[in-house]
Amino acid sequence: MATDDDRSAVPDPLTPTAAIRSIPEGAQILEARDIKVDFSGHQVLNGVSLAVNRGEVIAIIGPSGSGKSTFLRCFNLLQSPSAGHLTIGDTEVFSGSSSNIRSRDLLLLRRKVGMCFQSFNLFPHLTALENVVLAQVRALGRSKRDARTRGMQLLDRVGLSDRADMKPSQLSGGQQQRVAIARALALDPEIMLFDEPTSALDPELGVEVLAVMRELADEGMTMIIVTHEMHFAEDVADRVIFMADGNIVEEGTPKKVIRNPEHARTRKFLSAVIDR
Amino acid sequence: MNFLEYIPTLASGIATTLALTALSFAFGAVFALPVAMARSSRFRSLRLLAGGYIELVRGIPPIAWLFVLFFGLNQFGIRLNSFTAAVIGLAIISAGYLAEIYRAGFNAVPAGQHEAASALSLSSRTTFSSVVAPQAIITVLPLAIAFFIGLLKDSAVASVIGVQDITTIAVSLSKRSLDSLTIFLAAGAVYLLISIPIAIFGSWLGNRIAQKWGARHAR
Repeated sequence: MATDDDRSAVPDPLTPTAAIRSIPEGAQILEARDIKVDFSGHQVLNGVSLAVNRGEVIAIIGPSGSGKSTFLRCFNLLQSPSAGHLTIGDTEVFSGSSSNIRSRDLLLLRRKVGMCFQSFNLFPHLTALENVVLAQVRALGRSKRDARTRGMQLLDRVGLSDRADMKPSQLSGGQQQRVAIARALALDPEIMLFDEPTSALDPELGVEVLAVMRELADEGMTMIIVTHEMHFAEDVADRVIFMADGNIVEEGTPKKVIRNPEHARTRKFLSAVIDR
Repeated sequence: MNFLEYIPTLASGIATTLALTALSFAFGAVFALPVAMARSSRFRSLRLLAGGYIELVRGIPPIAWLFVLFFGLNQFGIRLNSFTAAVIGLAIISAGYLAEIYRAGFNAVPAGQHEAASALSLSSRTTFSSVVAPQAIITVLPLAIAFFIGLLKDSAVASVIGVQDITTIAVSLSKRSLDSLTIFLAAGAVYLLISIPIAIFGSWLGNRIAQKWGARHAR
């Protein structure tokens, strides 16, 4: 039932992303400037900056506690920075020390920025398809019928259209994560954030998730991925960022950062991850 | 008269006991929702208000509430019949306890569920109604049913203001007989007779819901 014709038949009644869509390939789509986060006095991010162009795939690597997930969560304001600036498209969504975003704009921002979590966080009481449909209906205002059509397309795309009526508990971890990707894509985001999407998975199940992500990258999705999968980062990322202790230590092409790291801290981490 | 012969007379109070319990539970269940929400509100004043209410309800014996409502209000010209006073009193008490049960249910929903809902741009209202509430039910249901059964028994307190429930009938029977032990044992049996099916129904319902969602609860 999922054909390209169906896809064009699905109207998008609310298209807040029009401004962003007009941003050409290669133009800047996200800018985080001097982001600081402290958790009750303990500084987790010490003023970190990152600019991402449309279509770019960024891998953020680093040891646990380096602040990489916290940094990622700032991009959809799941984590509110204690200071800094965040611009998505041409909208400054965070500036200074408090969020100046109204809750309505926050909802709009989050439609543009999709996210997948380490622990999937599917809604356990809903089927795979209902998980993908819910936000389309409740956040975008799509009709149930259109949302189901789009949902089936997306489940098909992640190879799970035959599991549409199953509950998350009936799916493997890899399948759950693929449903979670479909769920995030259902809002037609401009940027996808991945927070260690394969860390909770067996290596074999991780592969199927990485394959879906690779496809997404090939289609030109802008992606920011916190990961420990060095081979994947090397293959898919345009840019690798190494973080430690709340700072960006090193960034550059995968070749440079993963194969020829400049800093001793990066070398130490990579030897622990790759040469184990 | 023997044990079994008392049962039909006592059973005539079942309808009153059940109506009293069901009505006060229903009103309590509705009023508990805003209390529970206020209890976990981001506004301190609301949290304090709800917390104060809950402590007040739990700290004062039900019999005192009923006396205040039935005899106390009477002094100010507010005349409630005994059944109404009992329903209001037990509903006030139920709301406090059920609010805490709801809160336990909300808190049992993992933080990741709220994060996923936020990341999907769901409004807080949708998050509550479509994500949190349906999952909280798994925690709330068994606790609420246990509370209902507790309330069914505690509704006996309404006999002090003259509600014609099972206990009141037992008291009046025992005044006309020397066989108090048998009468109150029979009254106990009548309470058991209604609470056991409710308990069975409750665990059946709980299992059904858990099964419907799959045995494993998502993280």
